Amino acid sequence: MNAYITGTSLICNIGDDYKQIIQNLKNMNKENYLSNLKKIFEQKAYYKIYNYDYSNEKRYKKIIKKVINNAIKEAGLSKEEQKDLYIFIGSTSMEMAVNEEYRKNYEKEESNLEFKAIGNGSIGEYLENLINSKHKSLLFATACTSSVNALCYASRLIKEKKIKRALVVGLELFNKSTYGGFSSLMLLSKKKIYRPFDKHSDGIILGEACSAIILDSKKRNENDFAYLSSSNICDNYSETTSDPSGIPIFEAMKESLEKASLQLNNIDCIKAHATGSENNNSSEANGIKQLFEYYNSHTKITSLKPIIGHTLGACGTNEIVLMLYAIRNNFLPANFGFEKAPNEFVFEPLKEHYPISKKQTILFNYVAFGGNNSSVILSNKV
Amino acid sequence: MYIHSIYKQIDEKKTLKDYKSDLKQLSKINLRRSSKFNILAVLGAIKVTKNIQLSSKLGIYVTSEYGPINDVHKILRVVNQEDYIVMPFDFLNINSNNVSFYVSQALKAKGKNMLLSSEDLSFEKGLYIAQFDLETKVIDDILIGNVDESLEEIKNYHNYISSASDMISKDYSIWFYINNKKENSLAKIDIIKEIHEQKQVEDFINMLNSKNIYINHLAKKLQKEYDINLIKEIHSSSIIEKFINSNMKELYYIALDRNSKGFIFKLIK
Repeated sequence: MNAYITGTSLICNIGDDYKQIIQNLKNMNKENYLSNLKKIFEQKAYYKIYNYDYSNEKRYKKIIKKVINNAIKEAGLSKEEQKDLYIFIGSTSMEMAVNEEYRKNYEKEESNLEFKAIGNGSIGEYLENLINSKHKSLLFATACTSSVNALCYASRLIKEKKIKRALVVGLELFNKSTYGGFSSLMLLSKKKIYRPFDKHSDGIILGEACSAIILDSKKRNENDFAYLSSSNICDNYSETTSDPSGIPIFEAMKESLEKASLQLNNIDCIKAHATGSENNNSSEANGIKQLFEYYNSHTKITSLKPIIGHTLGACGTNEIVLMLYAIRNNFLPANFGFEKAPNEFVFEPLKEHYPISKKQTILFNYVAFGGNNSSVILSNKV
Repeated sequence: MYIHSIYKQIDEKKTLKDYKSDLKQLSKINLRRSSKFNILAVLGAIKVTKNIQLSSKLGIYVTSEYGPINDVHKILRVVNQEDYIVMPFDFLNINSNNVSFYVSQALKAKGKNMLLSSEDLSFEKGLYIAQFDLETKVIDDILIGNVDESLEEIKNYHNYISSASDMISKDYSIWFYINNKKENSLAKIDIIKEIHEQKQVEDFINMLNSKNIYINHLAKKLQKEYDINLIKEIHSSSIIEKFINSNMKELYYIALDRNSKGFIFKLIK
């Protein structure tokens, strides 16, 4: 049994539906990337979702509702099939912005409630009610790997015939606590140019986005991607940085290849995690180097954070959806901002959108705070 | 799957300082600036694995309803001030996933670790997922904890939680070490069944001929119809410890959320 991606949806800085996102992505190039950044970072170096200027609570609901409805529509699910969706959610900050708003109103004595909710389970319950699911939702908090881990569990449960279909949601919306936290950890880019793996890369630029993926035991379209394998490895090196040797990152990618019985030359592209932080640039590059050496082979590398920002716990599903949109349009997205690699790197990520066929096998790599490393391989060649 | 070790800490009066002092006696891990949530979890995990040779394929699952709620409470006070600054450790302490990292680091474990939540049934849903990992041989052993800080520092906390409005909130750190080996086990988790509606529970209870049926607070309404027992703690995972330390040979434990979704567990000795 396979688990197929039959429905996708994304709301991010470059649009809130497939058409808008793909049009903006196609129009992005090496030349206009920097001028675009200047424009969007005029007030703050942050990849914001536009046109959702409501209260934080209403904003959450509007975004979640639209993203889920679009994914369900694309998957063509009936009301009965919707009810049977198991819900998996991955996020770092969960509903923090809404709690920040509640606290503000409480302090202004406009409300008696200090919190919207204690704990994050209520997001799951909201989604259950929204789609009328008969199943209990599950929230993953594994930092930047949260939503990809959610996707991997959902896929494995389908593969093992425990469930028939699932809705996986990656959610990360702006909140002051996260932005302030990253700022105080001195991890944010000062030059306000997002350029992972580049010699002059100087840090992370955060973003907000929300995505939904419908997984099904049955393929609906010829080009639907299937989940082939995944791995999840713990790197105990540090709470906030990866082992600089890159060994755990290499091991995670190697394990996912082994589980799928693939060689590196079967992989058309690696979507790197590539946060742009000093530690991630070098440790992931070391991991990739070891992978290339181990298989005595290489493949194309790209990263997507320069397009939508680092969307933390939601980046797993956000970047999968963005990548699948590009593949549907016959290209691999460029690793924008990259110009020149440090001398020790053994690869150069894609500098421009790369033309491809619609049949691809992609390894998605993710690295998180707390040493949580996940790799997943998706393919529509099966 | 079989339970090999259990540790339960439920306190209502201990301070962060007390827990730090307890931890210092057990481990060299540096959690000086860490949250009570993290320390409660690490303490429980160390104690439950005290006499156990940890497997290299160990899966660590921390389940929690509220996460590091007291640190979230603290940071929410800060971020609405003008020119607010979020201090690094305050930020790290609200990143709830750090809890499973610290458990992993304290135990020098290399396998997977994660924090899982599911409204009112975080432990039960987490155990369901852990069982799946064990069954599919992704892991050889499960270390699962049900960890929550007391909500007593939060004004009117009963307004926000759906269970047990008449009960005092306490610090919980309840841990289990589980695998597929029968030898020297304390109990077997024989059935984990997912429930979608109350009728399924009723049908199940009608089939049973057991006095040892326990329900969580959100399933309390079932007591009107059936001769069943209420679990006295907010965190219903505590019933497993009670079963292990009792003369009962079998126990059914039903945990539902307010929409009557949930799980039925059968434990045997």
